[in-house]
Amino acid sequence: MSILSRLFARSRKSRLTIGILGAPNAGKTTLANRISNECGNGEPLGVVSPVPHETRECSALEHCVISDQNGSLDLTIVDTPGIATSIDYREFQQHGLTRQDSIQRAKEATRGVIKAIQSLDKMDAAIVVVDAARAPFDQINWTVIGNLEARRIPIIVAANKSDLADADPELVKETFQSDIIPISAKDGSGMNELYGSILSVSGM
Amino acid sequence: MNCMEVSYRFQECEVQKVDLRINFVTENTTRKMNSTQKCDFIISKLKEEAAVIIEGGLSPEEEAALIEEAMTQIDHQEFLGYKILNPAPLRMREGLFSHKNVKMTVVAPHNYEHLSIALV
Repeated sequence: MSILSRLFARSRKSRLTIGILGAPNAGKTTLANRISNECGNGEPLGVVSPVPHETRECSALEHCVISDQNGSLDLTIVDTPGIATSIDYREFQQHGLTRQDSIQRAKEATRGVIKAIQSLDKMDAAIVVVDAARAPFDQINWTVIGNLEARRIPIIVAANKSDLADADPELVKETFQSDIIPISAKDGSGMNELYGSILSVSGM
Repeated sequence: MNCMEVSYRFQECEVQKVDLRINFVTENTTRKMNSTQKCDFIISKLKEEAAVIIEGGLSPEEEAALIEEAMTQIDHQEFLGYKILNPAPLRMREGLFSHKNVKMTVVAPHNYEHLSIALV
């Protein structure tokens, strides 16, 4: 091990709270569940659904352990509700929900968005999950990234759904002018690179 | 309030015509407002079905505050939130030979489906 590596290993945090943030239906809960399955106790953090705002509460999973040659990192993963600027209950009706259920879901979704915004202050680092198959990318991603930068919270941009034919991770990179990790939370591709990035930010 | 309201009509897509009211808020005006006042002003205009262009733009923290405030005010009938756009800064003439880049934030009612097409 080089001197530099040993210094880096010594300065690296042993515990990290990392938030998973982004727009609705970007694949945040799918990613959280995969991390739990690969590094935690395997318990899913939430239900995955094509209906937007399925996740309406922040949920955390402690003691997900990832490691490299420099040691281990004990992660607390926080899955957050999708952040949006509008909630239209009629969108839920299009997914087959009754009007009453749709309005109830919309009310819970507005509270979920507030909780997601407020969770920004409680994170050591964040994974911003962008749906790489849905360009133009949601403006909310810039709001989230801007707020994380203002709080000096290290960010990893994950270009999710890279397994889809329409996905364009290069466009994500170009758009956000940032290093990105192409992943598929669904099939697991890119996860080792993502864990490598998490280990890197823990040394910041 | 030092803001200018303009109304115009534009052809949207092929057949649908939409009235779009825009409030242009100068940097001089927003400089005198704190974050809460900006959010209240923007949401009051959104509830009047008008878009707001803010010279100087909103900071990321103000954008987050606007989201939080809007979420508390969504009534699931009339007000359902908004759309936001931060176009590339505009290069504006400052003096005879000088220019400056001015950031703008555009906030519009949530049902302005073609905001980016209309304003960028």
